[in-house]
Amino acid sequence: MSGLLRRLVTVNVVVLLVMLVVLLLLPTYVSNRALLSVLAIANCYVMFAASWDVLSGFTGQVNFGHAAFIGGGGFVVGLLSKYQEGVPALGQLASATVGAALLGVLIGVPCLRLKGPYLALATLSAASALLQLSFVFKAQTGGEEGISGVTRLTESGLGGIGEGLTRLFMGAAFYDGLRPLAQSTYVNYYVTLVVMALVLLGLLRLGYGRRGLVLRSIQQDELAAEAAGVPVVRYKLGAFVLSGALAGLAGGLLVQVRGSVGIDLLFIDLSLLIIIIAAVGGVGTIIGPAIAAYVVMLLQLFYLDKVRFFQENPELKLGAFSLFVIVLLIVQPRGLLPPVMKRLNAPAARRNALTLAAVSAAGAGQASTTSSDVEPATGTDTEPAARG
Amino acid sequence: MADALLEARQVTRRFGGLTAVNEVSFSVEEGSAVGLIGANGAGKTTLFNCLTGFDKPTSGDVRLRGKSLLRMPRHKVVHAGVSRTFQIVRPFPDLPVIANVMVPLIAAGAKGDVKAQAVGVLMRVGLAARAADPSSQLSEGDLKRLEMARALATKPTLLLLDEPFAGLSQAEIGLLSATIGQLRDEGVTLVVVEHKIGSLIALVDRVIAMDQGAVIADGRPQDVMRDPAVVHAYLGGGSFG
Repeated sequence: MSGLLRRLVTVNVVVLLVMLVVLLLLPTYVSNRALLSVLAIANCYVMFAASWDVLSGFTGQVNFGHAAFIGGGGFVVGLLSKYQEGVPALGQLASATVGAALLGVLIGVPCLRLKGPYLALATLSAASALLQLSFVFKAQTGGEEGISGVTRLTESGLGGIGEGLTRLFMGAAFYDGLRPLAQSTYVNYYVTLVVMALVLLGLLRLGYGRRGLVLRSIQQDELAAEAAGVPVVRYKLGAFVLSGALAGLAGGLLVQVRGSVGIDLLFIDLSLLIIIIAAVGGVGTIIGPAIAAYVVMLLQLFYLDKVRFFQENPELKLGAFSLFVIVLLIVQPRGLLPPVMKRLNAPAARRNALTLAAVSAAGAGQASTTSSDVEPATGTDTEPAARG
Repeated sequence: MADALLEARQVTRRFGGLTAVNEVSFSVEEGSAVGLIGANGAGKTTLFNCLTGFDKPTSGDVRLRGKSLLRMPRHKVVHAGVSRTFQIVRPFPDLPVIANVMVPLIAAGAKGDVKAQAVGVLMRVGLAARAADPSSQLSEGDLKRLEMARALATKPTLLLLDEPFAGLSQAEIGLLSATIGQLRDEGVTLVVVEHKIGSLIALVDRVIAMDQGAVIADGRPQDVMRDPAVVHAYLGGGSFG
């Protein structure tokens, strides 16, 4: 990994850590449980957006049907709750992840050769096909009603983690004094937070590591990447599968938080909202869409509801939100995060450039020493020329 | 023929009714530097694409050390040792120069400090000082160097350069020519497609001339240049660099 990339990931990890500390401690300062409920949902949306970004932001295969994976995972959890009561919540999530990964193969393979509007149409159709499918199997999926009575997070091993964290941060007496419904609010919040943190950390490591660089090269120029020896098909499909799997996991988690799964998780509105979130945060940065997910979800589900104007005119909420997005993207076309990151990284990039210039000024002899301990090819090819 | 590094056998490529490459056969020995010349539309680039796996011949075969390249996906051709540059440069524009070179190193499964290895490759083409710059800031000449660096990073046994001098100033041609000469002296087997024969003469020890999809001359550069068929084809084409 180049120093530049290493510094980028460091800044990202610092941002992530600050974010996590704030979120872990938040319940100790904010007693508003409605806010915590919204944030638990937002935690899932963070995973939706970040998993979309690893496919669309990195390889450039813009997915207009991410809801297919989310709803797919959600319905796996819902159907298992309905028909296989023996499967624990954790097993449901694992099934949702695997199911959505398979869906990733199913959608990803035909999409390999598609680009731009055609790819958009194909991914869009995949999600709407699943939606139609949920109506075809209305008896099982519940059609417009969806499936309620889904196994709750509190009933799973994961719930124990949430309970433990709540006791840790809020005090055991506080937790035991809560009614079950209030307890589940805290459990949902902490469980989604933990899963989100793990997913985000994994995606950041991938995105800013070697594989992430290769994924970016595919987005930049697929043919040139092939000429550079990149197995483009494998990477593109891999990104599809990973993106799908994580979205399925997050969708399943959301369903367990809500206790129900509905067709809204397959709607194009959801797919579009995720793209908007990613665009607001900064496509191709992972952490940008993650932060934007909180901003957007809080705006949508929490703050705008508090404004009397929007209480009286709920249909204008979406309009106001869209206006906010349009203005933001005019002011910051690359999203909120990239300009901030650029500023944070400017000194490091300058230092990096100076080091590289110094290395190259030292001449070809230096080249063989910098690479002598690693791959022999560059070193041995350079040495005879330098000596002879 | 057994020791040939690359062998084209009766390579033919048709596009509908047009035969762009017509039963072309030749071989390239390990360590040699071969120029492939021809006027515009002679079939150079089509042949070049067939040799590097970017296009499939309608008939015929392309073999590397006796092994056919035709059924391999492009990245496998690269890993087999055949690497190419593009006539119209195709950098990864939003990536820094060094990252452009790290991609092929990673794709080849390089271990250890990939960045140091990338700097090593950039030095071979004289681009190390620009390592941290965005590749979109490079001049045309430096972009050609970047293309070469990216191709070199795949550790090719055979490097095919597609019109490396196209679009460059005379000064840039001189500098780039020196770099290519250095690679040749390091033992990299080269095939250089060029429109202008003049810039090739000092670089290659053999020239293959094409016209209308067929090979019309094959031999030492000075002989090929005097070949009546070549002179005719070039005068007919109107340019003789």
